[in-house]
Amino acid sequence: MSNHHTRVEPDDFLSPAAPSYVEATSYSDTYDNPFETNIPQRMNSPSIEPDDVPLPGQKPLSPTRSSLPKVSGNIGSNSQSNGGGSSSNNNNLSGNIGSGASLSTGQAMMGSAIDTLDEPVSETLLRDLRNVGAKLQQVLYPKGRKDILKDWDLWGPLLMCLTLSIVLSTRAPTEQKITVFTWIFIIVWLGSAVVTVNAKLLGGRVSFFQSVCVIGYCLFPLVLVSVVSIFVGSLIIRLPLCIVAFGWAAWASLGFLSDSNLANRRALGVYPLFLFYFVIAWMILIS
Amino acid sequence: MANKGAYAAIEIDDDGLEFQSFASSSSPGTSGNITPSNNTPQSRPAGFNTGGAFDPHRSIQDQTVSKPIWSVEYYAKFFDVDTTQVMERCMASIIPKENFLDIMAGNPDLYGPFWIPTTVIFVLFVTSSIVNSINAYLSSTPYTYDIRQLTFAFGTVYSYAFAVPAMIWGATKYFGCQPDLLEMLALYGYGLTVWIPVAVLCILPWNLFRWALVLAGAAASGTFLVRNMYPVLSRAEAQTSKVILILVVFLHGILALILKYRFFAYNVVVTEPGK
Repeated sequence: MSNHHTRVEPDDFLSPAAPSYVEATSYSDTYDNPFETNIPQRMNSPSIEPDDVPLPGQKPLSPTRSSLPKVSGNIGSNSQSNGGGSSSNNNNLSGNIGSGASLSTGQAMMGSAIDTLDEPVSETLLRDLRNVGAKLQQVLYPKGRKDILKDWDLWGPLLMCLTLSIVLSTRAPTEQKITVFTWIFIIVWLGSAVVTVNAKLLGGRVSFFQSVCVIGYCLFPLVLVSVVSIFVGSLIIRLPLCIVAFGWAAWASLGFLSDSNLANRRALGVYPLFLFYFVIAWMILIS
Repeated sequence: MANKGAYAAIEIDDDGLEFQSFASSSSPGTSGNITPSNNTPQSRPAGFNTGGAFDPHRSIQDQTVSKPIWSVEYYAKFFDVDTTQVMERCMASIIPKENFLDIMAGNPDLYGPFWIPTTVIFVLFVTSSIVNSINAYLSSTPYTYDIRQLTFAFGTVYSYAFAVPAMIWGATKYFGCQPDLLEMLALYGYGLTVWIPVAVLCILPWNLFRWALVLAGAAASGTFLVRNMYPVLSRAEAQTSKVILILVVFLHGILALILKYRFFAYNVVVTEPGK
């Protein structure tokens, strides 16, 4: 060996290479040894043991293994927090929807900023109802925040429509109850859609659902009269009530839709609206 | 020199690119920004076609030309009318003095043909329920309204306003009269206008008076229909045009009779046993 070394020595670049080669082989020996001794240990020992044995060769592995439970622990704790409040999970969703619907209405914006994760369902529903109530109040007494109806929802119109059709169908002759219900339902929804599309076609700048929402909400005075007319039968009281409610509804909806940008065809856009409210007022009057 | 040339070429390329991108981005964008494109000379030809260049809304027609047929904006060109125009057309259909197609001036709308039948339906329902309630009052029976009147009016009037003109249009097209479906719809739609005052006046409880009213209404709208349809029908052979004309008058007469017996004649039927 020494001979060999001295023979090679004159070459300058080989002399450091040779010892390093030797060292490397010795390294690989020390590396290989624990691994090789490990495998037989595994094979010999009961299958449970090797996992717990801290080995030099497995050291890089073992920290990641120990971190795996940590990660899963985190996930577990996450899911546990969800699972613990699984009943409030629904709240979470509905709360978000509710706050989404109440976007852009000045005060309701504050509401969406509040954490709605932990509130009960009743609170969420109540907030939606309050939202509908605020819009109804706006229809009855249009003062101040006109833009509250710009943030549309279809709960109010649905409520109006159902109340109206149920009230009128209960007062209809027995064999016509279903027809009356159907007609009111169709007139309210199709009517408001057709009136809106008509305004759009005439060149007005209205958003479809916003307009449908406004038209539906503006039915509120008529719905009130229809409820009143359950108890008051005489025509002398109901006729002026219906006329007032019709005027009120038409006027309120005009106020909300006034910026629809119809210059010299305004009457063409407004006329169907009047026809719509007039027909419903008439149905209420004769029921 | 060569450098300059290359530079110029690049510049031209640049211009061309910019122009292309502008053109491609402006065509879908027109739906959003209507107002700026109003002042472009594109809107002028349509202004000449339709006769009135003063109306800013008239240019709706230009912007909707390229719209697909299933979009709402596509139909905006059929609603390109003013309040005065619609009133004028309604009056012209009640008192047929001049040719209705001249009044429409090549711009038949769908506003009238939709809203006039709808109005007629609800007016018929309202007047028939008034008549019924007067009946009930006179014969001292409790009044209950009949929602089936509304259903019936709905079916009758809409089928007369939409299905009949479509049928006539199909027939005349088959015989080579080159009819315009929009004009047909407009004729039939505006032709129903006369039934609104007739229906209101038919609340009055004199039977002879109401017969006279119904006949007058039928005559007015009948002459209106026939007069304006004759130029189209005369393009076919004499025999077929006569047949179609008779069909038109026949259907019109049926409508008048249905209205009379279903909606205006209730008074007589109910009060006679009551009195």
